[in-house]
Amino acid sequence: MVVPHFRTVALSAIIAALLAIVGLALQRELPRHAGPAPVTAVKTEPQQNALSPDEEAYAAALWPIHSEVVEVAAVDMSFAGIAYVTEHHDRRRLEEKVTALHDRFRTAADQARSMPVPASMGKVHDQYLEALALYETASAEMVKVATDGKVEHLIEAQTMSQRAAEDLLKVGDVLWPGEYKPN
Amino acid sequence: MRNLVRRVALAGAVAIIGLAGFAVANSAAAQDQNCSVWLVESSRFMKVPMGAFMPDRAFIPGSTDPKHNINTVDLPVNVGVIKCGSDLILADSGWKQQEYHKMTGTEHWAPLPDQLKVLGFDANNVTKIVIGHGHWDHAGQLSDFPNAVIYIQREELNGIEWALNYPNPKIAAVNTSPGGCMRTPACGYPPLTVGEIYGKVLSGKAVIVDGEAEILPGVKIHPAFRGHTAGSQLLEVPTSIGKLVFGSDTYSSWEGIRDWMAANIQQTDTVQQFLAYEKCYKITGGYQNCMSAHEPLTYTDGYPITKNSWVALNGGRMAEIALAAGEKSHKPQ
Repeated sequence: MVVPHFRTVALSAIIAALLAIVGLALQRELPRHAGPAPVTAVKTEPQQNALSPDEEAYAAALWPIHSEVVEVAAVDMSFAGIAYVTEHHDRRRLEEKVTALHDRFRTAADQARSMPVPASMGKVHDQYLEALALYETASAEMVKVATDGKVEHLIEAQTMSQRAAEDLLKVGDVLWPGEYKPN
Repeated sequence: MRNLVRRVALAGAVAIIGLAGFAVANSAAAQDQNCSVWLVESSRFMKVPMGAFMPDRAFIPGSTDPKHNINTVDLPVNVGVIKCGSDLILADSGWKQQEYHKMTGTEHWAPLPDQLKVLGFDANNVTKIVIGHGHWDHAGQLSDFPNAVIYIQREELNGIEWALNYPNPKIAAVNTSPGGCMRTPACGYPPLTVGEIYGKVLSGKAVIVDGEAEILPGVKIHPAFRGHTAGSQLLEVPTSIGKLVFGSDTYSSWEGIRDWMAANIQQTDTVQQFLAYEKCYKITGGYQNCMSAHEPLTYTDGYPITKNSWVALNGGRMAEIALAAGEKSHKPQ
C-alpha cells in the first residue's frame, strides 16, 4: 500500500477547505430562487400615468355628475334603507324616496352617455355607466318592498349597490386620484 | 317563642348579608374585568403636510422650533384590537381599498382579517366593532367581520344625512373637490363606506347608540359629538395598566392631547375636541393612556404606551398594549 506524502495530504486538505469556503460564499451571495416572496415584502405601487389634456377635460366634465349627483344619490339610497329599517318602516315613504333616487341615477346616466369621451377613456367610461346601471337596478329592487314588504329586496339591492360603489372607486382611481384624503 | 323569633331574625340577617355579599362580589368581579389590548396599523398615509394635520404646527422653513420644523409626517391608521373575556372588539375598522391605494397616497396596507391572524385571532370571532366615527378610513372592512355587531352614534348618522341633503353642494357629505375633502365641512363618507354600515343594519348587526352606552362590564362608549364629526364617540376599556380611552379621530394626535393642540380639524369643533381630551384625562388620570388614531409617533418610544411594537404584514406595525390576567403575549417571538 502506498502512503501519501504528508505534504500532499496537507495541500489537499487546504484546497478542500478553500473550495468549501468559496462554495459557502457563492451560496450566500448568489440570488435565491426559492419560492414565493415572503408576505412581509413591501409591495411597490404601480406608477399612475398623468392624464392627457383630453382625458383631463373628460374627468372634469364627469366630476359634477359624479360628486353632486351620483355619490350623493348612492349614499342617500343607503340612508333611505337605514331609515326604513330602524325608524319609520313606512313602505310608501321608502318607495317615494327611492323612486326619486332612481330618476336621479337615470338622469345622471343619460348625461354621462351624452358626454364626449376620449377613445383612451372608453373602458373607464363603460365601467362608470355600468355602475350607474347597477344603481338604477338596485333602486328598482328596493322599490319592490312597497309591494310585498320583503326585506330580501333591500338586501339584494344593497349587494348591487356595493358592487356599483366599488366600480365608482375604480373609476375614481383613474380620473380623480387623491380624491380621498386622510379623514 | 322568643327563641323562635330570635332564630328567624338570625336567619333573615344571614340571608341579607349573603345577598349583599353576592352582589358586591359580582360587582367587584365585573369591575375587575380587564381586557387585553393590541394596536394594529391598518395602513399609513405618507407625507402628509404637518400643517394639514395640526395647524398649530405648520412647517416654517428654517425654523428650529420643534413645533414648526417638521414638513411632512406619515400617519398610521390605527385599529384597536380588544379582547375582553370571550368578546373580541375592534375600535375602528380601517378601510379596504385594495386597488386604489394611489388614490390616497398610502402604503403598508394589509387586510385587517389577515392582520388579526398574525395576532392569533379569527375575523369570524370579532363580536363587536365600535366605530369612532363614520369616515371612510375608519369604518371600512365591516363585511369582513360577519359576526360583529357595530356600534355607531345616531348623531353620526344624523350628521351625515343632514349634510347629504343640504342644498349647497359646498357643504356636502361627499367630496366636492376632486383633490380631496379640502376642508369641506361634512365630507368623507363615500357610498361604499355608508353601504357597509347599511349592510350591518340590514343583517341586524348594528346598534345605533344614543350617547353613553356600556357594551360590556367596564367597556363604555362616551359621546364626543363634534370632537371630530357630528357623532364621534370614545371607547373606554379597563386593562391591567389602567383604563384606556380609544378616541378615533377625535384623538387624531396623541401629542395634541398631551400639548392641548387641535388636530385633523376638517369637521371639528375644537372646543368639543378639547373637552374630549379632558375626558381622557379624567377617565385615565392623564394623557398617557389616550389611544390615538393617527399619531405619527405610534409604535415608537415617543408614544410610550405603544412602544412594545413590531413590524408585521406589508411593513405595517403592531403593538401589544396590555394583557389581562392569564393572557399570554401575542407578540411574535
